[in-house]
Amino acid sequence: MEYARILIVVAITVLVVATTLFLLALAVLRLRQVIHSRRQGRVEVQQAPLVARICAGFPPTPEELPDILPTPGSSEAEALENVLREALAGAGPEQAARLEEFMRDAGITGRYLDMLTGGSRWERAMAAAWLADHRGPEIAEALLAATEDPDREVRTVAVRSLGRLVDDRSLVTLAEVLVAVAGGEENLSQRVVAGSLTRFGPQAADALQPMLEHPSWRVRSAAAYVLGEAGASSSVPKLTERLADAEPDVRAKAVQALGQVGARSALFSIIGSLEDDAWVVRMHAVRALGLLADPAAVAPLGRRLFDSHWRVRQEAAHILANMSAEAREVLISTLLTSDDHYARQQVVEEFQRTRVISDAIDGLEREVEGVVRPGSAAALLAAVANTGAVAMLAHAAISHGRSKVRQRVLGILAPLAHPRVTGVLERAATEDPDPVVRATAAAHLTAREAAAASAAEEV
Amino acid sequence: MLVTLHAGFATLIPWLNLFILSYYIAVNGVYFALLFVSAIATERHRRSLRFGAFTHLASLPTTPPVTVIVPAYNEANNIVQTVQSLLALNYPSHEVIVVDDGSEDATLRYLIEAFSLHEVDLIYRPLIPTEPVKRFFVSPEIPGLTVVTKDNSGKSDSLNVGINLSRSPYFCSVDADSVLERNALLRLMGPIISAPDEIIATGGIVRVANGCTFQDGQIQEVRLPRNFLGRMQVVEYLRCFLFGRTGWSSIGALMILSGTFSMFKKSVVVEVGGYDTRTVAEDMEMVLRLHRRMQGSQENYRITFIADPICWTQVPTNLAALGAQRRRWHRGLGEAVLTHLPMLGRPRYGTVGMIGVPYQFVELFGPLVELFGYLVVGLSAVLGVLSTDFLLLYITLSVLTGVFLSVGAVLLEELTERRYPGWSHLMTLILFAILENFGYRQLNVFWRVRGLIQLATFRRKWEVVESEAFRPHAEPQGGGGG
Repeated sequence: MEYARILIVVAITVLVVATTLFLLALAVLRLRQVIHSRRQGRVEVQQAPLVARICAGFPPTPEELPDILPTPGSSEAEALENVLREALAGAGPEQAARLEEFMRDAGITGRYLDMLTGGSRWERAMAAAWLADHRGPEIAEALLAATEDPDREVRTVAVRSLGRLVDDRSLVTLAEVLVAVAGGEENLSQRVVAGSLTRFGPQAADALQPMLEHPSWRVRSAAAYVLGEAGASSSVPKLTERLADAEPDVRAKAVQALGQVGARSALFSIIGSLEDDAWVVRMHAVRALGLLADPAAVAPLGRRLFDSHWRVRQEAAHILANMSAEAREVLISTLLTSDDHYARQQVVEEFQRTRVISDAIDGLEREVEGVVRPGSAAALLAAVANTGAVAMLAHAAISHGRSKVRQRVLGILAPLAHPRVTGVLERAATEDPDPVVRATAAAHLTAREAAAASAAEEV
Repeated sequence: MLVTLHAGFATLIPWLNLFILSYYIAVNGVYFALLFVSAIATERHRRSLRFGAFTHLASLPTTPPVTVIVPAYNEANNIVQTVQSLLALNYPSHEVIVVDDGSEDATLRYLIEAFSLHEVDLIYRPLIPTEPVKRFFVSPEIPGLTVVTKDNSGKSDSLNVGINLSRSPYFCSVDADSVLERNALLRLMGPIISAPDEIIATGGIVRVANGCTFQDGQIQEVRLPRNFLGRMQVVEYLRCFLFGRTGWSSIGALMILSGTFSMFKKSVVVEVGGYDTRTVAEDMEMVLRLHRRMQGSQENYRITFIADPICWTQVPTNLAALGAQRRRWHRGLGEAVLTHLPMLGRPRYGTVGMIGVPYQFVELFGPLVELFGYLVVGLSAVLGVLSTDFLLLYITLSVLTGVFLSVGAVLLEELTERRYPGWSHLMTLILFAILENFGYRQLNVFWRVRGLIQLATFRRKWEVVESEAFRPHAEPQGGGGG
């Protein structure tokens, strides 16, 4: 029993002490934060003239520096570094160069380089991030060395910083890292490495093109992706060759890249990819042709409206709807003449998302006024309604501002067996403000009822 | 007879005491371990934020598109603010799909008016089987927004509808009474971009919006709720997310990502058949199913939680609504763990099977043990056989530990985001970290036991939790209310 009591006392004491320590820690943390914010604010105010002076091209002389710079390692020095880093990150090229030079003269850059090579893993990662805004051969070299750091986090930050630095010397190393990542020998994120490489733009081509011949399809695919994102137009021949790759993912990435780099010379090869066995390649080919927006691609794209895979149909309709007036004509023609329900449905979906149907309803208004050739808008809207897409028409039939338009829309809807149409006609017959529209709706309703009765009789 | 009962109870007392104390020691042991692990993980994350800037993701071509899915049922109070906040997110490519689950209030009307929507007929391809959808609305001015309506069939079904309509490789579920901070999606995507092949789901922190002020879907000022229950929940959410989820995530046994704000890889969710429409805890069930599928096939994957992407949500401020919510959560917990019972204690399922699922059972039946403890103490006092030692130890283990853990959560908050900047905020949080152990905690036990009873009696009635509207931000010099 005595032991139990001792245990209880110990448990209570431990918990009370621990809670008190937590409370103390809370108070200390909050106080530290308050002091830190105040100090930072004070330094920002104090050093604002210094930053302005450096940016304006009048940095302090070496003789002045000891008076200006706080004691290294002090909290004021840390606060000043924060101020300078923020100014550097937001500065234009000229001002950035001046700030950077000052940081170099003040020994700050050197300290970061030391941190990158000899600090703890956190310090190395921080230094790798902070050095991204600095320039110079020693920075690129230090960051390149950091891509081999034992810590994954440091390597990731170094790769990211090299992407921000955009130093030609790092291209080959970054390409090698991409090969290692895609090949599974390095556990960095492929997205991070690819993102850094794309920042080099077209100059990434030389380093990446050999990767298109790599035995691993993952490497070939990654290379094609980056070349596309980087806009490396000099890679068109190599990318075109990859359209015959055995791996669908590589073909898809290659055709996408050809579109991204604006490869008009490869137009017919891309059009050829529209017939690829893999739907994902066909879909990317459609997207690529959308980027090229070449009139020669309109007809082949129109054929993809009848593709066996819905993603390809969806993409083709989307591209054609946004490509050109001629491309839109293909969609309209498909809607009016095709007997493929899926293709027509896809076209209508795209027309609803854009303004085509609302424009056609407005066209109906002009038809009513005799401005537009009679029948064209009505025919289009009738074809839309025939696919079962009556929502926009139903809305127009009830709430369009012009009574003649409401009347015409009711006429388009009336022959349809769609369950919603009866409701629309009933509502128009009773609620429409125009007696002519009410009468028209009532007449349509009567006709529908008669047709339904005769159909029932026949049965 | 009475004397015999009395004597029998007196004999039984030491054993009952031992059972209850063992439970508390075991559960608190887990909590202490979680707090310790969370503190390390939080410190690591805090440091990594100094160099892992997420802002560059916004301009990176490799940042994948995301669909934000908002299931909404009778959310007229908040839906416009929520959608505004989602459309204003700082993210390179995202679409918003609102699924109106048969709302009986003005949810749909407000959406149509606020975003100039018009009805269209879209093609619906159910990759995951769902109840039929009824109407679609889009706006040519806001191409990234789609609203779809259907008859009321529950949150899971609504999420599945959203997944079917989604055009992105990732989707993020967000509750209709919640507001995301501008960079929340970008921050949430950070870990996925760092390890896209590995991370299949990730969740951010949910914080209490009551009391805060909002303008155009953006938080303007962080304040604590005025309501007593609201303040309790602030501490509770901090504890639950900052050391609960952070801790479980660190050991790879995260069992739940809040449906209020979580991101998933769409292909994996479609592969496992989407959200389960038979449970009220669709978020937890989904995470458990993903674990089961991935661990079962020995695939390399991670489900993670990070504390800095912030979602502000309205919490219930009256006892009836809060009780209904807690009952539903606990019943959902039961449904989810019972569905995935085969994972329990199976080494094949790694830390999830060996630690995560067993702990969820402790969590499930914990309220019963706690309630039993209160009853034993009460009955012992009435019968005059109450042991002072037991009482002291019981209070130490339940109340003092509760205070310690809640203060620990406030400490973690101070270490991470420090979203409650004033000293008065800090003092209030500490006060409520202590107060919640007296009364609020016991109420929770009561509600959770009722949830267990509902689970046992299969009462699956859907309960709607009423939420407050987001408070508009009042200018300091303004004459309006605030």
